Amino acid sequence: MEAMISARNISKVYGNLMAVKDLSLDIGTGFHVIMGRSGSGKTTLLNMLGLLDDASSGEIYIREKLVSDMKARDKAFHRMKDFGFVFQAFHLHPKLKAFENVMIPMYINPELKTANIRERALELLVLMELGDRSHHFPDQLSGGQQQRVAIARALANNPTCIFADEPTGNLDAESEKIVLSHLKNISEKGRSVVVVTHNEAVMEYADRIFHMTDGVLEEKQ
Amino acid sequence: MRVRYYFHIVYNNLIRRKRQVISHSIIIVLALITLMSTISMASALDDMVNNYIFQSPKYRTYNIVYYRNDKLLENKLFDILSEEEHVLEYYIRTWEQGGFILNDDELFEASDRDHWLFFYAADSSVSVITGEAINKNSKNVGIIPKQFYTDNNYEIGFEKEPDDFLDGEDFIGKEITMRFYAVDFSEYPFKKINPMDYTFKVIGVYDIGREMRQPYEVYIPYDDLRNIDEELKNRTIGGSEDLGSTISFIVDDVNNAQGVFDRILSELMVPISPMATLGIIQDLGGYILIVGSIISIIVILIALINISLSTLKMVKKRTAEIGLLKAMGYKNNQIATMLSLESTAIGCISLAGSVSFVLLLIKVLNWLIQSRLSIQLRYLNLSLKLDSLVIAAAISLLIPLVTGILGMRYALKISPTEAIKAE
Ligand SMILES: Nc1ncnc2c1ncn2[C@@H]1O[C@H](COP(=O)(O)OP(=O)(O)OP(=O)(O)O)[C@@H](O)[C@H]1O
Ligand SMILES: [Mg+2]
Repeated sequence: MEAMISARNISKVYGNLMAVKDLSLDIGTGFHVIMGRSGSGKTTLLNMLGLLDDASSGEIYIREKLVSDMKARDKAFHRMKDFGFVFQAFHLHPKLKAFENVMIPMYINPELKTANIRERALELLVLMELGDRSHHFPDQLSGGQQQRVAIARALANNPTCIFADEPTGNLDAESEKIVLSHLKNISEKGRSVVVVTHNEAVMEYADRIFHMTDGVLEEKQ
Repeated sequence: MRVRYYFHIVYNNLIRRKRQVISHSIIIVLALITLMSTISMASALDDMVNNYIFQSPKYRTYNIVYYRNDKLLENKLFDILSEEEHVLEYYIRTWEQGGFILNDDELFEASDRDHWLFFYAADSSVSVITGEAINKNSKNVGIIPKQFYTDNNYEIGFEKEPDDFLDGEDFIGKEITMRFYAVDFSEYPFKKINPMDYTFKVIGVYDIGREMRQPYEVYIPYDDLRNIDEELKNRTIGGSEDLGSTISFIVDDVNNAQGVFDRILSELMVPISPMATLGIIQDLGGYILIVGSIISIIVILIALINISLSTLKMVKKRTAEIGLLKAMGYKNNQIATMLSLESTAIGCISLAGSVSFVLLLIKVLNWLIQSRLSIQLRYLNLSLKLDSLVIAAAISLLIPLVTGILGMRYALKISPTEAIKAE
């Protein structure tokens, strides 16, 4: 099976610091966990794979298309169409209700019909077991619920890959379990999920586990 | 991106930064209010001066003073004035006369005060609002003020007139007898001597507001006034003879007066002076406009700096959010459109707010003018002029857009990775 994202010998240099060193990686379907200590380069790697940042050297392919050949708008299009992002801080719009937050990425998706956007947002919240919270504002939701809204938002345009950077960083153990099991579910439906964390508990959900040390990635069998 | 959604996000962003929206709007509203009310006031004063005061016969009348015996000059002046199409009427001016009413017991409620009138020669430009006009051959008739008040110590000013003004119409048909005195100048102190009486019948009333007259000023036939003048001169003892003579002429429009002046001055070296001058009011509109513009410009400058900085601060605070939108695939032009719409909305709110405020202000001021100011200022009518509305609309849209530039530049440079950095 062909890889959704392929990285070939990518590096990222900040001044004289090499945050990611000559790294190669293929991401297909399933739950990928990248573990590593703080400062090991996890976020840097995720940014490059998610087309949020450029690699200093090496090549990244999205479905065999070379990223360094893409214009900014093409990258923006891939981020909209193929990727969903979940972050440690949920970054929900405080004055929009849960379902309205989920609608935001769909506004710019030309493939979706205007009439369907709202319904789709509500469906995604049901999927995240938040059907009864869809009309709540973020401050009326718990951290775990907010993160599930963020996951629903990441799923809005039916992406093939979800990137999550420390998604459980702000959650208690109970919420953490719920959020991770949802991410696991997603990965079992033919999508890629890439979770970056230093939380050991995430490992039990993983299909593939990687360890990052000082910019070097190593897969754990 | 669908327009409806732009508005949805923009609306919610504005709700979120409510306090900032309000404070930005207030600054813009202040600038717009000073600007619009300044323009309204200046143009109302201008309108009053040009369309009303200067259109009244009094302000369209000019005097030429010359040596009485210079008949050659007098004839030349008559020739020129008769040729000029903008000159409606001209005549040798007979001096106005003031005197006390003799039969005031019959006419007015009993009071200690004497009743005084002041006579002008009626010309064709006097507009009678009730009753009849004075024609060339009439004798012993008069047009009195509709707003009738026979106190020579009183003068119409800025303040509202006293409420014991009489209605001139009540006097139509009545006869008023005046007593004039000649003066004995031969020994000091001078004495009033040789009284003469003049009776006229009130045949109509005029509006002192429109004619810019005092409430005791009465028009009588030209010949009557001249007779009184000559009779009093005959009865006067001593004093110096008046060697001057005055020709008065009325133009159809003050704007056409200059042409007549130029012609007279180029052919004959005689001084021409207006019968009445306006003083401060004439230039007041201009002053208000200058002061108001300066204040508006200062407020606009403050607004530009203040709003620029606070918009920039707002965008910086939203760095993560804007980064997230970019991570989601939003393009720079979509984010720019969103931010511009937010700014434009603030502009529209400010415009609506200031227009409603100014409309209300104008209503209140107009009410005050009508109820508290004198009859001669009732033509001061403030209104929101289209041009000031257009200027205000332009400014209310430009300020937010210009002040948004700093924030916009910052927003466009935000990297999508900013979203990932935890707060
Ligand atoms: N924009 C940047 N400029 C300079 N150095 C950077 C930048 N971003 C990251 N770094 C450095 O690169 C290294 C890797 O950072 P990165 O954020 O990828 O670590 P991480 O593994 O995600 O850490 P954490 O678990 O704390 O999030 C760190 O030493 C960091 O200081
Ligand atoms: Mg990190």
